[in-house]
This record gives sequence, structure tokens and C-alpha cells, in this order.
Amino acid sequence: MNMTQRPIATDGRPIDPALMIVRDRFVDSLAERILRFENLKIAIETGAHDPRAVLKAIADLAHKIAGVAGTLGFEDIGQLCMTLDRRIQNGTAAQTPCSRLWAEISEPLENLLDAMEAKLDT
Amino acid sequence: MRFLAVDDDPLFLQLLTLRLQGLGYTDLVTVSSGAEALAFLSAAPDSVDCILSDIRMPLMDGITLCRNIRALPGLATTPIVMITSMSDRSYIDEAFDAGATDYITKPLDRLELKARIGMVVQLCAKGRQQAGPVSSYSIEPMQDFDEPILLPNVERLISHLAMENYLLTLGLKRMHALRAFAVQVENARVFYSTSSPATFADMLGDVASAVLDSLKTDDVLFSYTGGGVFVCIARTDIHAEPEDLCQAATRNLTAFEDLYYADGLPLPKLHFGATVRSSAFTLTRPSKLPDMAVAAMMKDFYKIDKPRAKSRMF
Repeated sequence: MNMTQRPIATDGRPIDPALMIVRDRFVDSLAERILRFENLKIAIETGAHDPRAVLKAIADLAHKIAGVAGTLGFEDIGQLCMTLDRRIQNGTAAQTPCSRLWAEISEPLENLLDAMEAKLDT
Repeated sequence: MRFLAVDDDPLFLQLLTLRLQGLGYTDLVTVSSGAEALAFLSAAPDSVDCILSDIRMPLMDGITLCRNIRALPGLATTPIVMITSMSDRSYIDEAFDAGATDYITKPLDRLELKARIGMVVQLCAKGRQQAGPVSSYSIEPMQDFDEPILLPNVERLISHLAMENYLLTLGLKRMHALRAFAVQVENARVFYSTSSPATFADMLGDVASAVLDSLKTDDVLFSYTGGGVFVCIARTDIHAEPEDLCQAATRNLTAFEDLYYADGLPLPKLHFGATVRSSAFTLTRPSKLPDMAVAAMMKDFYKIDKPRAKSRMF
């Protein structure tokens, strides 16, 4: 990266240079987090674990990412995580059957994984 | 300002540390769980001026942590600012019920953080003026009678500032679902003039407990606004007339009658105001609801005793 250039967030705003150290750590953590999502996907698709607990684990992981992504200039990831978290929370509160809830969140989860992978490629 | 930050995400803690440093606050301790926070605060309750805590954490969530902190000696009034994502807004009511002073949303916005922390700094400065040597909530030297003081740990009794912050979180729809009423301790001035600051604060704590017990619902927040006046915000209907509530609360207070008489003090005498709510047809600022409740109570009080109520001297 050209160090004289101020880094730009996905929404076009400049990122506070003081936060670059955390941003780098966040990018470094993406591969491991993608892997965790993939493992959770396998867990729910194979029925190896309690689906409700797996959905909660997905929501918790998305929630954690949403807490920092926006501040670090990854608004798109932050929004996708927030959507995923909210859908699982609302579905759980409404006692939506796990199979239906999983079907509802599969697409937003894939979109999130695509967005995270895209950041790894840049 | 000394901060304790609690979050299970090390990245967020690092981010918060940098943001606070950017605002000039460098005295920060970070821990990654509620258990660690409680251990730290139990060992050194005077070591922090403000606690910043995430809400959603594994094992002990931020709301339980907040409640546990409030139960620790010396931490009944230390500002606790909850940090929550927008998707966690449903937890905000619970956080205020548990004793939170305010909240900040994730992702962190620098300006919002600056404003919220600025408010906490002001609160701490005020708290230091109030803090006395007798107990964690004593008010030596005696502060102005009409000022809201920080009271002992009574469940659902929150600071005046926290109540304002809570009301500001509400949208119009939820705002219209609220009811509010005020309670006056008619002889508060007697306690203020003749007893110690700690006794005055204890009396107000007794009144808060007695009133809250009389309501028969947990879905309320209660705050002392100064001048012997409390405001109650209810999120459900209060199915009782002010006179009946007053009688029930007074009955609860008589349990302490002997203690008051032994100190040569009267029992606190209560007056409940009418319940008010914001109208769907008028634009009422959320923070105005407590003022409306106090105005309704005072209007009612004038009818009872004009000369005394005029100057709020008892």
C-alpha cells in the first residue's frame, strides 16, 4: 500500500490512520473466521450438532464481526453481519423452526462469506 | 479519568483503546469477561471512574455484569456505559433496569464516543463534589436540596441522567406507551435540615423501595430528581389510583417506623401525583415526560396546600 495515501473505507470515506493496526489485524483474522463459518455450516447441514446452538454460534460470530467491521472501513461486511445476526435473533425469538431459519439465512451467510473472501483477495 | 473496558473481542478492545487515546483518555484497563471485571473491581473498587461494557458476551452477559457491579460495595453510582450493536437495541431497557448510566452503539463513532464520554466526565466531576467520607453515596458536604443526588443501590432506581438517557433512546411509538408519575416526600426538607447527609440519602432510599414495592410490577424505572421528588416511568398500565399507591407505599414505610422514631425523625410523608403520558397528537420531547409528571404532581399539590407548595418548603 502507498503509505502517503489515506486508506479509504468501502463507503468511500477515509479511514482514521490510527486505526490501521487494528484494521490489519481484522483482515488477518478473516481467513480464520471464514473457516469458522464454514465449519458451522457443515455442523448444521450434517445435523451433527444441536441446530439451535449452531445458529446461535453463527449469530454470535456475526455479531462480533459487526462490532468492529464498520469502524475499520468495512461497512459492507458490518451490514451483512448485522443482517445475519438480526435475522437469527428475530427467528429465534419467534421460535421459527431451525430448518426454516437456516433456509432463510443461507443466502445472507453466503453473501457475507463472499464479501469476506473478497477482502482476502485484495 | 480511569476506565475499565469489558469485551470478549480483543479487536474491539484494541479499537476502543485507540479511540479513547485519540480523545486524550489513556488510563484504561481492559478485561475480556464479566468474571474478570468483577474480580478486578472487587479487589480495587476505587480504581476506576467509569466502566464500559459490551452487552453480548458469553457466560456472563453485560446486563448481569452491570447488576453484579451495582451490588459491589463502592460501585453503586460509578457510571456504567453499555456498548451495544444496533441489533441489540432490545437489550437496552434491561441494561437501564440493571443500573446502566448510558449506552454507546457499535460500530464506534468517534463523535458519539466523544459526546458520551464527555457526559460521563461531567457526571464524575459532579460525583466527586458529592462524594463524602461516610459512605459510597453520602453527600458531605450537604449539597443543594433541589439537586438530584446519587442514591444507594435500590433495584430499578436509576440516576436522573440515566432516566433522561433512557427516554432519549425511545422512538415515538414506545414513548407513547409510557406512563409517568411523580412522588413527593412532603417532609423531605425536615430530613435535609435536621439530619446528616447519609440519613437523608437513606430516607430517600427507603422511600424508593417502599414506592417500588407498592407498584406490584417490575416494568418501571424510578429516579430521584431532587427537592424530595421522585419520578416513576412505567412501561405498563398502573392499575391503581395515586391515593391507593400512596397508602400502600406508606404502609411499606411503617416497617421502618421504629428506626425513624429512635433517631427523633418522623416517617417520610408521601404525596403521589396523577399519572401522565405523552399525547399522540402533540410533539412531546421524550425527556419532557418526567417534567410533565412533576408538573401534574405539583398542580395537584397546590390544591392541597397552597402556601407551602408555592416555595416547595416543608
